[in-house]
Amino acid sequence: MSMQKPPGLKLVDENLRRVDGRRLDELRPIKMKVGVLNRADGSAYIEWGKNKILVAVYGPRELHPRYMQDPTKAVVRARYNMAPFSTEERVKPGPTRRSVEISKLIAEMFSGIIFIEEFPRSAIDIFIEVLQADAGTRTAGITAASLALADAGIPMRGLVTACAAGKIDGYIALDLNKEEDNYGEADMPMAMLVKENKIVYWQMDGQMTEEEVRTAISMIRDACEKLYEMQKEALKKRYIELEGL
Amino acid sequence: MMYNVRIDLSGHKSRELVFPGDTLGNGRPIIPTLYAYFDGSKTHSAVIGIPQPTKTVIPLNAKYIPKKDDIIIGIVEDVQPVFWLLNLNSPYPGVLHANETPWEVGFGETGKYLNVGDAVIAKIQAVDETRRVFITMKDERAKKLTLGTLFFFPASKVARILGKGGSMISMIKQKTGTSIIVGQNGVVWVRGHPIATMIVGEALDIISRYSHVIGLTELVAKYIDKRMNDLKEFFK
Repeated sequence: MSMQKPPGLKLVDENLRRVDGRRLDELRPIKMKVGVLNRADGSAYIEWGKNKILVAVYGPRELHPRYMQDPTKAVVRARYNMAPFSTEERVKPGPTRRSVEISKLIAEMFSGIIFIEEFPRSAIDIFIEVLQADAGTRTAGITAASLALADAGIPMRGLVTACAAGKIDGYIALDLNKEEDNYGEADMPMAMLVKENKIVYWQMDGQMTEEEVRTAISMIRDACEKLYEMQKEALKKRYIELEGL
Repeated sequence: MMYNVRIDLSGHKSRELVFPGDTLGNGRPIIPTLYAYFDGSKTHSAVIGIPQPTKTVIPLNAKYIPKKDDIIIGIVEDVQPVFWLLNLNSPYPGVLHANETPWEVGFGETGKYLNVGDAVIAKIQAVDETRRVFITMKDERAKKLTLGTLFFFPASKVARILGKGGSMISMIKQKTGTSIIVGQNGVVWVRGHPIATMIVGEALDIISRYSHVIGLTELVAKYIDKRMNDLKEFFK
């Protein structure tokens, strides 16, 4: 956020079109595929604009080391990781301040959605590998992770969808891309359980007024409904149309 | 084990499926289940699966959750002076105590009877509230398995592998001339001609991946006939 904006760069033009030609409330093109890995219990792949993310889910399985086991519920562990080649400048391999934070929040969010009390003393592992990044990887990762969890047959309240909205050149816009994220004024990723109309994950970077936040939330809600349909479509392709089985 | 057999599915359709969060009906599920939940007025599915009239779901993919009196196939993963730890194809390992076997095992002599990698058919004696599992071999069906090959599947596929009244499994046995034992935990033991064993593995793989396709038994029967015919020179 708030990198020095190159002089003359207009994020929103006079026709309310953005740098990549989208309207303010338009998502980037999204492709989802379920069951792409044979060894994992569940897996999914998502292409969201220029983001490419692979998710694998294992579990419930025996948890080692044993002192981490909880006799009342399962432990959800998540790993959000960016591949060294995922951005223009090489990312140093290994956990960073940013990836540790995102992993922790994603794990905590999914512990509230999975019925963890049904699997005492076990572990559920979610691996989110970002192969190519272009802003909005955590929301794309969460959307794909909930597909992978469904594919693994892990009981949960519903499919989680996530999307971001932000403020660019004074306008509230949905699903920021890299330029908008770097040179915009605010970014607000959010995850929802669409059917129950519940917010399950919410972060914000930058500054917005209360009114602007309300506009952003309603934009995200509409987008999440579209994403939810896409998720169901991806699951239907895999299981009902038997694609790639 | 994944053979990744590709079969022609043209003309075959899937059963109706529900996805996590889909509504199954008003009111509570008739049978308490792990795979559906009640939100105060309606019952929703918690997994991908085949909906049932009882407002429950048969999951397509589920790990084995140990249940009392299930007959399972366990693989020894650790040997201790008075007990063995068995892998049950589940998040929870099972404890088989030396006193729960048909043998007279002295202290520290457990390794003489079962070693790491050995497989046994046994019964779940008890499961406590934190899912610690106790196993017994004091049952007429329990025995140590020698020879043969083991295949691993999600426990939710066991009903499909057996078929209605055991129709699927008896068809496979009869067509391939093998003996097969299916554990409730999704572990399948096959003994017979090596090529026939391989064909059984492929057939089971088809059943586990296409378990929700209508007309599965005919698909599998056709597949086995074709493979047995293609590979018939190996049976001479």
